[in-house]
Amino acid sequence: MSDGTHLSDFAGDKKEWPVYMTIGNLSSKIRQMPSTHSVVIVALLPIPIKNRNIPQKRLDEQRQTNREVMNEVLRRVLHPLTFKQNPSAESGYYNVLCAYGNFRRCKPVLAAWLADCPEYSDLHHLERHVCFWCECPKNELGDYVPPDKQHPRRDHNLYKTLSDANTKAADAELSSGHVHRGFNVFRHIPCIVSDLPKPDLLHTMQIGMLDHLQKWIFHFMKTHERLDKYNAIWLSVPAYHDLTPKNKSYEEVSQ
Amino acid sequence: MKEMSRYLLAVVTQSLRGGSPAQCPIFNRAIECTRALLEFYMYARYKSHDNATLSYMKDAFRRFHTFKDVFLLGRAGKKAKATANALRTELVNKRKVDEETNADSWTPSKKRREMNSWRDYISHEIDISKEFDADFNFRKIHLMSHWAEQIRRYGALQQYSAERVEQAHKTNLKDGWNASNHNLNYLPQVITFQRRILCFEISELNLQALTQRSENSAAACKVFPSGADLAAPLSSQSDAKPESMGPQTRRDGKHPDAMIKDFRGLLDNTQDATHRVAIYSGTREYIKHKSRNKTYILDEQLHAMELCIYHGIKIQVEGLDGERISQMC
Repeated sequence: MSDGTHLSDFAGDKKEWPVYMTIGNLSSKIRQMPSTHSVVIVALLPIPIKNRNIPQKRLDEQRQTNREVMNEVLRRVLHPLTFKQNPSAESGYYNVLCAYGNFRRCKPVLAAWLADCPEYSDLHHLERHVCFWCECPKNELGDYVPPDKQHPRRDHNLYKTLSDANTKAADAELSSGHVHRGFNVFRHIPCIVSDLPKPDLLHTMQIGMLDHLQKWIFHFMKTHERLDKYNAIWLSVPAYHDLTPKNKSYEEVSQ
Repeated sequence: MKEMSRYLLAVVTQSLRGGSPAQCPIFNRAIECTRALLEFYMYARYKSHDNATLSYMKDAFRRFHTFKDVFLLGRAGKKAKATANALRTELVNKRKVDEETNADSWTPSKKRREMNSWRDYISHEIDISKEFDADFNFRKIHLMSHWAEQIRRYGALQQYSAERVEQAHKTNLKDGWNASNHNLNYLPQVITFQRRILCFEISELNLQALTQRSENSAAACKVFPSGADLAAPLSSQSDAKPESMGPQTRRDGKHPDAMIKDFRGLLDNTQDATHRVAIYSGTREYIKHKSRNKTYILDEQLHAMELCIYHGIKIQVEGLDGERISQMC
């Protein structure tokens, strides 16, 4: 899992972009406890410099370089998972010292990668604002998708061959799928790349859709001249158990 | 946001009460849409799912999409607003032309009526233009459509929430940053800090395991008649898996390459059996109150004994003649 974070506003606006790792055969209850140290930091990714007042062409080049650098770093981090050096039946197995003091034979497999939406796009070499699970066109993102009519899943093996082919036709096909060219580390690891992203409640719902919903309701109340009533009721929600009373209306908070 | 979701629907329903007959259907749609999205969120947060809950979730998602159009105006972005503004200036110009041409023939009341109808017309046109340009084509609204399938394949969603990652930031990075001197070379400091914290935790776990193992072995050997009360609750456990606690090597926290000596070695070196009991109880005491790393124990022969636990275990026994004997483990 990876996520950019903000360390300090003072002392030079420090930011970090750590990569964490945890193991899949932990109970999720244990993994969620911070005191168990179940999630350890394995790398700090380089943070690209801010792109401001740069012409579009150089910006694209810069982004390309950023992607290459990040993939190179991740390649080194994930190198033990690639098993390229001796492709035998035994390859990929490691003897890992277990907490009991005994060694266990382990075959590590990358099963999931938790990140927020823009990071998924970067990690999977996709353009921003497209779905990372399926090939849904940009102008159909808002439509209802019936469960039996899902769009085709993204096939990263195909992207890999297209990207390696380096011809014009291949490039055109890549850009029609909103995919960037270039080396992507996940396509070289034995895993299904389109299965790596997992639904993220925090970013998609809590600070994603619910935030949108609140904005819409705000607009709706405004157009129907009910804003005062809405704010009054919003403020009058009493404190109860873990509900803290509101002392600011929505517009005051968001501005 | 999380707690907001619990009363948002009530607030919306209350504030939309008593609309005019024309407004009622729109208000109902807005309430239904809010309800569907919140329901979807609540179902997504379930800790376990079956076919029924998943079908409820899908149904809520479908309902959200049927009613979402009511909020289309709120989705009008910069582009839609720009076109709407252009339309407004155009319409206002038309109104002016209309006003000037008819300036003589209109009476004041007629003029007022005309102006009102113009205003309504313009706002209506602008709403239509905005609604035409606005869409729901953003990524997060689409991502939700995959959730039911993802739950079916990988289990409840709470475990994949990014909240755990934010927690990891706190323990893994921010604590270290706060402990560093915020200079240019803060990164090595953060990493060493993190490493040190982990070392202490490992060494503490080692101690815990050591005392437990010693008690087990004590119960198995039945060497200490006075230690029977310590060993009694654990004896059944030691019977159940006799070899799981066999000779093992553990890594020391401070020197991960060096192996910690077996606790039993210390016990063999300690001649006095009563000391051993004291050591157990002292170590247990330490694990109970982690803040204290020094314990004073009076053993049965009234020897004052000092047990220091830091990276290893240090025992100081005050002999009868006042000399201090220390032992390290």
